[in-house]
Amino acid sequence: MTRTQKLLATVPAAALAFAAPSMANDWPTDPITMFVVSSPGGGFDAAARQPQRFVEEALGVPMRVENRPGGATAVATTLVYETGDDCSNILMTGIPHILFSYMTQDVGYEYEDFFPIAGLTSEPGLVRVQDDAPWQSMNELIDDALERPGELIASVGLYTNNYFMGLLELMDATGAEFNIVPFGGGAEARNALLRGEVDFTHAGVFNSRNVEDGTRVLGIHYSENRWPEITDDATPISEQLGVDLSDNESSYGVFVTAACRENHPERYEALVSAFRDAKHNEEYLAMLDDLGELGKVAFVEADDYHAANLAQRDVIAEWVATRPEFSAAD
Amino acid sequence: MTEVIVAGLLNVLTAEGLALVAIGLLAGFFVGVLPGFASSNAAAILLPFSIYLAPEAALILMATIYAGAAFSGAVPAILINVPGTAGAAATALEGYPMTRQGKAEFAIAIARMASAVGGCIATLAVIGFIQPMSRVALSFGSIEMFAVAVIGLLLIGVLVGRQPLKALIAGFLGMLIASMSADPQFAQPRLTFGYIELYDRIPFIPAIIGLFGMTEMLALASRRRTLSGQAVAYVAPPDGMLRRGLREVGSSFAYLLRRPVLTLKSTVIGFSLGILPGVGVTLANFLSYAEARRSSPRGSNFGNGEPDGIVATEASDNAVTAGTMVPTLTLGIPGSPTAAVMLAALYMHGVSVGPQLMANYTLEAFTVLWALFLANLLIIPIGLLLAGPMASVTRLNPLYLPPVVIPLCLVGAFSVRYSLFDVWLTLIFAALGLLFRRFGFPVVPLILGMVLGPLAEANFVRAMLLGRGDPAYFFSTDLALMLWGVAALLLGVIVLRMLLPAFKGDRQ
Repeated sequence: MTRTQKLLATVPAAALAFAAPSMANDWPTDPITMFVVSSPGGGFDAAARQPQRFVEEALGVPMRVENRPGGATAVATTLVYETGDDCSNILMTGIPHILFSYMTQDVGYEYEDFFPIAGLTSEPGLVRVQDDAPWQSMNELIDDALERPGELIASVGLYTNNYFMGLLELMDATGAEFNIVPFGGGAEARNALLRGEVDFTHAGVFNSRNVEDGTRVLGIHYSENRWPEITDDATPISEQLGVDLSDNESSYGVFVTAACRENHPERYEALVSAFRDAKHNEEYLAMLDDLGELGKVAFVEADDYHAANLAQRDVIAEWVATRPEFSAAD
Repeated sequence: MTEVIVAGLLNVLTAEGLALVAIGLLAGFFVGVLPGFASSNAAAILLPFSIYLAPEAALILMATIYAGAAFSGAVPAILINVPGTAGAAATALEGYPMTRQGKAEFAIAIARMASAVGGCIATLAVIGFIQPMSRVALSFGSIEMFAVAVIGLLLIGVLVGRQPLKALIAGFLGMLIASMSADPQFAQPRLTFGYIELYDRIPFIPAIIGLFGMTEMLALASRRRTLSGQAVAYVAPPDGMLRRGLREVGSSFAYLLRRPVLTLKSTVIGFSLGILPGVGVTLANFLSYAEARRSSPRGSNFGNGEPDGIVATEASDNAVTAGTMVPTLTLGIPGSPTAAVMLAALYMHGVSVGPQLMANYTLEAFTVLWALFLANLLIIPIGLLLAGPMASVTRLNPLYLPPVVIPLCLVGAFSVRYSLFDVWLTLIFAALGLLFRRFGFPVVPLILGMVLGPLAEANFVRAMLLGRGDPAYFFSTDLALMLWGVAALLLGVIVLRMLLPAFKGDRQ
């Protein structure tokens, strides 16, 4: 390499060096890594990669996205728990996934070992049936289920997701009894509905759009329907049935270890402001709009997200302690 | 529909399209020969950059990497008994013995031709009939998938050979190893010994690398006396490699022409299992191998370097690649890890994957399929040009192989998940492979047990839940009844085979 080439090679680095001091502190100077709890593809991965370059712009250093699937999200979570105390390794995971992860598995961490940087996206729940299903409303579905206890089959991705919890809540509120079958993944659960293996599915507003041909939405498991154009303008289930139901949703968020936040508050703040800046980035928002995913974005500030997660933790802890579905597995 | 199929072809036959196919194929060749470095890893590395490409360009790259790796994984399997990909594990069974007989170049030529022919036929079938095939893929529910797994388990019986007890022990050990995971319903750990890495079952690639490549290298290193004899077998003259290669293309094509039924049958097996999500390339290739061995008049030569075995596994291997495109493009269910990354690329481009993909993005889908077809076709000329460098390993004195290949195996095992745990696992499987070899246990039933155990368990448990414990539920669809019929037929053949020698013995 000639001297001129060497000088030219330093230009991008110098540009970054000048850009970095605009931040509140000098950190980060090295790339950071966001570990994703699932394989490439799917919701978690997209939620991590979509804001990637906008977060990089805000941080002034590259942010690698690395997938560490396995252990029902526990592999990546353990990795960040063990290596993230200097804030250079952060975690993309979900609620309730991280909560179920330590409450139902033998892992070394618990929710308090982490603290959110921000909540990024939200996936509200709904009930879908086949187009030619006999039920035109949730009332008809529940009446039928009451007449035939345990005969109506519902599919969910996993026993440890919010859709399964949604069905349990629905059963508790109405006295109906469903035969709930987990299919090992959301796509499989939705396709089971398409082929008529199950009577209905509890799934996500956005995730289940890929089966909208051949199926219809019977009700939204949320207090209001903010997504009428992609959910057949379905009425909230609580409104149809006249019962109290909580808002059913899963959310994807970015977390650091609690030790990172306590020992390096300035680094934690740098991460929080980078994700906040990315969220306001016009180009990012335009990209999401093009993807038709703007409605999925639910940016929640760290403290609010943490408070909501703690409330969710208490609910799930009680369910795990009392429901036979979880105690049966012990 | 015809117009859009032609438009898809024209999309690929542009300068940019052809360049992408060639780049993808070369990249696929490269990652395929590296043990453990799967095509899904290469596609995943491309993922962040794919946002800057048009969606069909990104998919062309990924699909052609997939096709290239599907063939080139056979090269190290043949040359040094280290399958470059999980799909090539079955190829090693015949390919490596051929290398030891000095027929490495012919084995690679057979693999190349079978990959190209199997891949092209299967891709054309997908292009022609993707819509009806998607309905077939969707119709396989829990009971049908359980029946498929049972058929696979029965095929272990076909592979039993002369030592049924050892094969059964190996098969059950495979299933036991596969049960080291969280259970498929409640995600509770079983036999994980506290290792979080075992929650998702034993990762397959480190197991394959350990059982094949590491075992072979360790065995080689421990056989000093025979090294000089083997060195002769490894030597391939460096001169006139291209000319010899061209001759091998001709002879391998003639070989396949003499075996139209075997080639077509293997393609159909690979393709049919490829369109079923979750079955996987390893099972498809082993089943294709088992069927070839069962039906071949030269069945007794299997295991000693029989080219028919390579035709069976490699035609199936690339046919699986085409088959996996059916659930990927029509159902949004990735048929393989590489297909999952392709779906991620589509997703990042705002394409909603799922059953409506073929309706909304028909042109993109056919463009990808034609790229896959072209990649399979180009395996012959590009593979031929690269045959020289690839086969150069055959000129190595085997004495130098273990110190080169063992680190390569360990790096390959590490690179799948960047996990040191997987490296230890590879070493454990290498030890198991050595024990198997020492005491004469067959390794194929072990692998089939590892693949089929989880498939059978997950679908059996799910079917029991769906049918609320009623066994009649397993016979509740026409498709399931048909599959049970096939299973019964297979069982009958196995029982008859076991009884026939005894019957003959009585008469004598």
